[in-house]
Amino acid sequence: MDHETHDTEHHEEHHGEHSHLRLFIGVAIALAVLTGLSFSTEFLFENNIISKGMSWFLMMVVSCAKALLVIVYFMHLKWETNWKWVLTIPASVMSLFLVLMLIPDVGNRTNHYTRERLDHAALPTKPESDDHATTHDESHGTESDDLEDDANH
Amino acid sequence: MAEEKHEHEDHEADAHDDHGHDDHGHDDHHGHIQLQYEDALPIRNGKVCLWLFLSTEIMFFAGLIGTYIVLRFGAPVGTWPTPHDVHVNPNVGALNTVILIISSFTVVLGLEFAKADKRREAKLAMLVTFIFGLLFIGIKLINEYPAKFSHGIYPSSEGLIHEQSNVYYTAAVRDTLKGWGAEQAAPVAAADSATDEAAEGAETAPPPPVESDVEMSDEARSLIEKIYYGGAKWTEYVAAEKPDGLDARDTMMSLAQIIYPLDRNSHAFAHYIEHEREVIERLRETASESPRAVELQQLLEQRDALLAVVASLPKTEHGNKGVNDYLHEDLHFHHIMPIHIPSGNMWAGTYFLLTGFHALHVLVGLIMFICILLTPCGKKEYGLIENCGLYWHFVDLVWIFLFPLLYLF
Repeated sequence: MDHETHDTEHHEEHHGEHSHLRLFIGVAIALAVLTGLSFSTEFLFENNIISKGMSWFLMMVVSCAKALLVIVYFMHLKWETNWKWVLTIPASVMSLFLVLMLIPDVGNRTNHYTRERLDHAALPTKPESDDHATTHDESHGTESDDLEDDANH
Repeated sequence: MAEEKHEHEDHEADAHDDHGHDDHGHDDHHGHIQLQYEDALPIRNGKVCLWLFLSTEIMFFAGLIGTYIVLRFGAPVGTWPTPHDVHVNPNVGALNTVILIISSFTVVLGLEFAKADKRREAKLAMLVTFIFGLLFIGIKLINEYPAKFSHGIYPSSEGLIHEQSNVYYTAAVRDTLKGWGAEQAAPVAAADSATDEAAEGAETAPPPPVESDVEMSDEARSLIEKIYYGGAKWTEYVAAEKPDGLDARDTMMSLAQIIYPLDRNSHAFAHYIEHEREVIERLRETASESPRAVELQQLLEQRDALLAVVASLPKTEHGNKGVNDYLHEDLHFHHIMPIHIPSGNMWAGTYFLLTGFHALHVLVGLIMFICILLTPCGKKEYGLIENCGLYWHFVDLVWIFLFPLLYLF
């Protein structure tokens, strides 16, 4: 069993050495093309073909694909033995965990803002597409609400 | 399973050690003996360390990027600045991405050449990598960061960025302009404070004109005076009189928009300016019997003059150029008025932290490449080049995520 694995790996290594250069060129080209793809999702969004969320999602998928290409081929993890999992998996899990831990109090922070904090928080800018009249009316509503709140405060 | 790898690494280690090559000339067939000396991991010690370091780096950057994502999407809805609002140029970001990809590729090439002991080729590949790394940093320092700094966008607790265009913002603009001596030379100043006194029965004397050593051209001075009276003072007048709560808010928005236009406010600004005459009529009605009517008349003249200047400013794709930009680029005036960018402080904080730490890593990489270039770049340096290469790929990896998150989101 061991010998078999040994032989296959040996074979792969040799095979790899000969074709690595072409493989790396291919990976570099793929990375450039994927960068172009990130850009094109932005283009698709600006032309109203896909939503902003969809464009973000696609960009992140493309980024993950690029990251995998770099890790697997350029960083040679494809040809490393099992130790690679010992280092990469715990680090990745902890990174994900950290981000998840941040969501309740940092990500959702505006849910728990005090009135005073909200008064000084950034106000949304007005979307360009809004109709003048509706913007005016809506904002009138919020403004008077704000004024009332201020008075109560 | 690890034998073959071990053998290969061992061979690399030989090159560093003083062991003769003869002893290991045919170790291909003695893998089982070699196992006695096998390390905890079947790779070089240096590589173990480097990978350990990289795993801490993964967590470090995952923490930074994760925090950015959480802060960005947790920001009050609809407030995160668009790339244009903060002078982020996605094309430059994409160019830098391609530069890093090419440099990553040349590192791999250099490693392959070093493995084959092709020293000249390996050295050339490392030199190209170094140049591309330098290019990346150069673009950052010459194009990207100055584009933000010159508009007053940088992380600071006493920065120029205001989250809201409210009375505090208006006061900050007024104080800044006063500090530049905008009040001094203006003919309206005396009358203004006199009417103020009369209207409010203030006991205190008007504050003395602020001495200022800010140098500026006559054209810049005239524009700054117009902004002071037709912008800040006018806005404060409207806010104080409040003919309608909305007018006060919209005037403050228009002041911010005149100084530093935001994409998403340009429509509302145009709409407000169109209807400002109605506001003025209402103000005239309420002011006709009060002493402030004189002040209103004077402010209105300055307001008209300011709006005329703003309308004559060069057009951009998002409306007229901001007064800050005009003063800076066309009148060579090197001070900046406070600007309104919703969530702008958080944006500056995260952007400069993320790209700054990344740029720091690129700098360290450049130092490493200098060290490599000082060696012969032969088979002996394979381990060194591999370690530096791994680090460099990681730097590339981080940028792969930073580019869409910071430039395209």
